[in-house]
Amino acid sequence: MTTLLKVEDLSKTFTLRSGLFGEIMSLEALSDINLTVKAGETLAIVGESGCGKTTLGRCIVRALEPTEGRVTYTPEPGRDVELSALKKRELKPWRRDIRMIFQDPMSSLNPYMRVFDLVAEPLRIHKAARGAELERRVVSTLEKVGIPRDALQRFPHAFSGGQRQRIGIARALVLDPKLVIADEAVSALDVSIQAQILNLLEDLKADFGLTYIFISHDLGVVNYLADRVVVMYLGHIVETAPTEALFERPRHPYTEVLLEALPIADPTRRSRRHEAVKGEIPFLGNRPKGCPFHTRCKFAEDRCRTEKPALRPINGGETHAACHFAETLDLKGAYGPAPATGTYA
Amino acid sequence: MTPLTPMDANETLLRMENVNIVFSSPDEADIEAVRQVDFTLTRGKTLALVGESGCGKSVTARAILRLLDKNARIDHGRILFSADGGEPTDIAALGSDSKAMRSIRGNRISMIFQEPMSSLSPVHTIGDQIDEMIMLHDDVEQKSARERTVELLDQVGIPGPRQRADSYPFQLSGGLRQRAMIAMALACKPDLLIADEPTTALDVTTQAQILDLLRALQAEYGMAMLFITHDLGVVAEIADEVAVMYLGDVVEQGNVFDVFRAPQHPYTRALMSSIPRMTRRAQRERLNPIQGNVPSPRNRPEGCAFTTRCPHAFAPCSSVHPGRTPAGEGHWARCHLLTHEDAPRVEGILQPGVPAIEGDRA
Amino acid sequence: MAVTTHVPVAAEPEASAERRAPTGRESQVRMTWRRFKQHQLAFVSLWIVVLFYLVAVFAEFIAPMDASTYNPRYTYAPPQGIHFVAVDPDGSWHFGPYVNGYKTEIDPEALRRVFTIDPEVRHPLGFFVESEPYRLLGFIPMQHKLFGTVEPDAPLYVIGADRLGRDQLSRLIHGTRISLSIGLVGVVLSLVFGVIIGGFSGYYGGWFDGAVQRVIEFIRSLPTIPLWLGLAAALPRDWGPLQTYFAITLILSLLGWTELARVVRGRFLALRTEDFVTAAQLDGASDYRIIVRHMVPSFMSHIIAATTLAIPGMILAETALSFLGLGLQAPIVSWGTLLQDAQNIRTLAGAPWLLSPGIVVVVAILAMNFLGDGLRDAADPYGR
Repeated sequence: MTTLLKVEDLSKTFTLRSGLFGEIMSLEALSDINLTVKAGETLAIVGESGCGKTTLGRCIVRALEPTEGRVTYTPEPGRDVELSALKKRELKPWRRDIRMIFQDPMSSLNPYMRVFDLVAEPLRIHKAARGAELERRVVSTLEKVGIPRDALQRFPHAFSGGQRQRIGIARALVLDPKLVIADEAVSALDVSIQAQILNLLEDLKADFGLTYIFISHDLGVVNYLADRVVVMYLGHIVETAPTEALFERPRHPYTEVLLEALPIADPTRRSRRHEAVKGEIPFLGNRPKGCPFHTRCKFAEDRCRTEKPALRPINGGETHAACHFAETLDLKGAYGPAPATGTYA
Repeated sequence: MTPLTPMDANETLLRMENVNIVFSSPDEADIEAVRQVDFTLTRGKTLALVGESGCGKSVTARAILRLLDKNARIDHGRILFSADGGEPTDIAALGSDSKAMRSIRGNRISMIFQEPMSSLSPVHTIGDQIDEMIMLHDDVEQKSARERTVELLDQVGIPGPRQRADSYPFQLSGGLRQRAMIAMALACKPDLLIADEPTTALDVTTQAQILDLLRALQAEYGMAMLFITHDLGVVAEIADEVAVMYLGDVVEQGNVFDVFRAPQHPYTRALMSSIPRMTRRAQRERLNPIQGNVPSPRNRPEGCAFTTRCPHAFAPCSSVHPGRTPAGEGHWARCHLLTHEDAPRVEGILQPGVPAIEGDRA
Repeated sequence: MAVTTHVPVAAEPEASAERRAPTGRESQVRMTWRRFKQHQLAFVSLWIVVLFYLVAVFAEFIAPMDASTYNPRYTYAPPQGIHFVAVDPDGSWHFGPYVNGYKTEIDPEALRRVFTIDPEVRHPLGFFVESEPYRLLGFIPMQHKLFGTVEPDAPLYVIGADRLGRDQLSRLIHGTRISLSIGLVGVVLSLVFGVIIGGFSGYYGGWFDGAVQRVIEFIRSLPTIPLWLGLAAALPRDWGPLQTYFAITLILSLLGWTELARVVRGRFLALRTEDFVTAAQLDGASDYRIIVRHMVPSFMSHIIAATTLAIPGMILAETALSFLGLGLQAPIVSWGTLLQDAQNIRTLAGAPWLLSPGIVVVVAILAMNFLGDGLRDAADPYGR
């Protein structure tokens, strides 16, 4: 598979100032993020609140300006566009290729615009279609996401949460994008509606040949949808691996903690957890020295408190982890006992 | 009618009997938000009330504490509460602000919420708030109340409890705040703890901590717990018994192992097939969501509320409200498929004329 | 492209189709209007305000006389009142509006002219009576008034006359034009300042926002009346009425824009972080398009409400300034200059109808406040 998007050494620092003459405090929301997105895959970014997953998504689309680092987009082999270096005006054509779906379908649709105009807006901005052609594209995109033709003249408030999310998806897809960043796109929805949207996202991916960056805190959904997973903690990538490898045999203690904490809808597997992880996520402003996770890690040793582990390939495979002991730790995955014919080594 | 849920009279703490809750508004017809709810809460056990938004699970819980909004009332039914094994009190018949009700609320029954900020006072330290709670109920001095407070905060896993008691709620993280609220709820050793989505706003690792904590505290205090959630994963983690609600009806109820192994109501089954399973790629199955959206309570279909979205609906479903049909010991569902001879055959549902699958009938 | 057919979600099963369909298509503007109509006091106030402005626009046509037409014979003539039915001594009835004439007597003690209504003399009234030629709004030549006495020279003082025998009603109608327009022009000027400055401040934030906020705080901390007085006193005495008029509106709006700038800035700040604005940015929309197409519609209703609530402040300010003699000057008729006549308590005792501009001011201000409140409530979807 070819690389579609590459993030290199991306950092984002927010500066806060308390009051007019107050102290300036800087919060490093992302530090040295490196990742690649391959064409056609679904890459999940998971982590708990404050881990920087949303900030990362927004830095990629330049809804936030990265403090440092490069985001390179490869629309076709041999052509690299450094998105992070472009001026706002130069960025515009690439906005057609990289689109975003938001978490809250209530606030991401302009309440003063009708469904038709909401979906037509990206086409109008990019002058991609007009007149009958515009109408045809809007209607056909809406039909693909399951919004009937007779709803075109309605306003967003007339729709339920699931339907609004469908409209949000239509807005993302109407420009025939290549990469869609879905930021907690199903988190605000009820279980049964969430399943509808997940199926829809899966079908659309096949229909449009899309690549997804799927930002989520829900590991169950990630296991279902993603090809590869990036696990983040306090602004760092702590592990990245193909989905099945990660859920079968995590390499970073934090990944194990996340998997253990995940409630699984099967009472017979209730006892798999020994004890929930201790402590709380530290405040970003006083991130621990050394490994960011060492304060809560049950395997932490002196080295972890002083030396920050780099993200490195484990056993020469696709899995990368930022842990000094990634090779030797025996960490539990989330799947049940392996089927008779073990597929994973 | 013999009770479908077997119970030991001594252990039964609270029994909901045929409770209907009605919302009225000046310009529209009354809406039945909750209808014919029956369940039993037992000491030391947890009943999970699970359902999607708007199914009436929170309203049901608030009815027990008589904390309903002004425009809502318990239309009929009884909520029998027997704290000390004596003659049960009918909570539904008490005035919502009566002395008797106030002594039950907070003293016998406590509640914790999704967002602790809404029930903690922002201008008092958490220590003061818990002290006051203890002094109100136990008639002790501030000093000994504080000792108990520190003990409680320690018990709910707040590090450095003596110092933390002097923190204001906004100085605590979401997880610690939730712990502080649990400490407050436990201050007067309640018989029943109602937990309304207590972990929904928390991160997964914090959620796991809180679930562990609730389980440990329940074992220690021997209290009954009514746990409201929309998350089947959380249900599987914490519940002994589960009641599934849809549009104000409890559509299925039973032991958590039975319900998860062999769900009998099509809605329960649909919910279960809507959540991605934690499986390897090879066993991955496409999700099978319920079609359409939940109708609003004012447009609830006649008969079975789930008719309009049920893949197996047949003749009687759209006209007759199904009764409770046993599907095992202490396990029942409200579905015509279970009773009608001419119902369409659905695999996995115990139907008349269909031999039960081995082990499914307990 | 392969198309998977997804089962379309039924249009809106959440609520029955009939129930939701009409509201689903209803735009925010119409929803606001529907909610506004439920606010009865505001709805009545709307009609009162509309009536006031109609009077202001067609002042020359509605007022039976010119504002400066005087007649020393009728100094401080009392209100005649309009009668509709007349009974002759012989018992016959006449229908149709008329006013009575005056009888003049000299009060022997005070040696003052005293008017009494003479029920014997009747001056019938008519609609669209002929008058001196005049120009409506300054450019439409007209020869008729809305109403007046059929006999051209008969006295018509429905609510009385002033010191120079000018018709108080006509002056009030002409004053309405000046007072209401000064409010409107002042608010429009404030709005322009407020929207531009507040908009920049809110959309771009940063140091500019900080600076603007400090300036606004400074201006708002100044006591208004002395400031107006100072500014008004600084106007050259030899300026004509028109120049004074615009100078006064400018003074009022120089202070008035701060309030509107705050409203606009607040809305911009709130909207800037809304997901749908971020979404528009990610669509590649220009700043101009984001502001005009996505942000302005969302706070238009708030702006209208804030504007409506700002007008009465302007009117009161003008009235106060003119009443104190520092605003508009004599030949110009405004509610404030009219009230100057009511400054003398002895005059007022003899001719209480000179206080009528005060009543008009109260009615107009209340109606505008109610209207603004109603608009604000209706524009806020979470209000109720």
